[in-house]
Amino acid sequence: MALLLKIVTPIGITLEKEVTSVVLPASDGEIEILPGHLPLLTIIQPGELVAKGTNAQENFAIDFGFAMISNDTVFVLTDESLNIDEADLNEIEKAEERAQKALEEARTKREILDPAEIEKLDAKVKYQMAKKLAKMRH
Amino acid sequence: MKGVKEIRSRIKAVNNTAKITRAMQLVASSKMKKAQQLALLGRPYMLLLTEIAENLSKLGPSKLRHPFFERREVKTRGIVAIGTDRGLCGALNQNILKFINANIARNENVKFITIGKKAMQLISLAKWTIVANFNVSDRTDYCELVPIVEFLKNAYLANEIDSLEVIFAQYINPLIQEPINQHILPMLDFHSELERLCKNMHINSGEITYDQRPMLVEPNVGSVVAMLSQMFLSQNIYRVILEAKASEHSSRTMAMRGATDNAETLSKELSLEHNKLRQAAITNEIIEISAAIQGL
Repeated sequence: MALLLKIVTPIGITLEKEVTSVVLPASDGEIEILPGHLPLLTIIQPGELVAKGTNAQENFAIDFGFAMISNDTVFVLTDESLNIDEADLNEIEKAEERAQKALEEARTKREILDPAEIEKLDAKVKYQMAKKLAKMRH
Repeated sequence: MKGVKEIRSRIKAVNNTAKITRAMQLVASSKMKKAQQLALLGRPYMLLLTEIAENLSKLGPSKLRHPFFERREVKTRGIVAIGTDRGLCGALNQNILKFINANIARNENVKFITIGKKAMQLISLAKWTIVANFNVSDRTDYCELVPIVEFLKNAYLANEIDSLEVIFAQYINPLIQEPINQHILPMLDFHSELERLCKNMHINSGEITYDQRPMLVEPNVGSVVAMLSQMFLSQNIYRVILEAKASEHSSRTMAMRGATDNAETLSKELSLEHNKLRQAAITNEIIEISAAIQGL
């Protein structure tokens, strides 16, 4: 028995694949989903998603969102996802710097920007950091 | 009768206009493709979001407690009307206004939120109440929508508006864009919403399978519902704006194609007249010369 992993972002279905288990960055910490898991709906934090196949594994950096497990299908709904094995560390570092800078600017001009915007930028920074950490681990 | 010189300058002017309108047509059609693509790519996301909401609502009516998902008495309707920022896009904005005038009674309590300069001008001229106006650039970045979504959310939560509807030109095909009124809040029936989305995407809604076992929710239902409601509103607004943009650009493409065709016909007619006049002048000269020869 296998699991079907589906990652859906605003730019389409970025991954649809059969796997044996999935590790998700859930709100209360990492959880590993195996076939036959009870239906579950959880908020996910920016972090690393590991899709384990029978003899290989793939790593993805994902942003805020939801994960829904039902009928041995893992749906991941997130704003952005990136396959870490294909990512370039330099690119990520540059993106992190840009995000950090934008956040700094937003913080200093707090009265102009609304809090929702800052929150969004904050999430961006966290996402970039997660990408970097995940990349460095491999 | 106009002189040859005037006609010549007229032809030049008409040809220049045709060049400009053709360029505008090409720009609009490339922008249309982009907006359409974005709108299409975003569909699975919206579908999954609705599926999640549907699953949550199945846990029981007491679970999905959020003002966005609860029935309330509609005292003031909140209507977002999406038009364009610039003109030269055919009758798109006028059609939106016509639709509003035809479908909304004057004595109703309605607050309009307009998106696009032209929509604001037309709707305020027609003496409807506008509470806010926003502009969204053609790039349609997600972050441009943050202030709009925040405004709508706050107005709805503060009971300033009791429903949220969006009137925009729905993209049907490159020739037809039809104004429709899409209901967004309160969202009460996720099942029919899911079916509507499936129909748009040409999937059979029966294909979506549900796990019969009760669903666990982490960390708790409250925070999931809070996050879901926010995403639901912003995604819906994002989607209708993308669709409205696709309509705008395709309408502009058609308008500009018409203008180019007209300019080309006019240019042909003018050249014909120009040639006739020139020929007449030459004939006259020949007559004069031969008359002079005979007189010798």
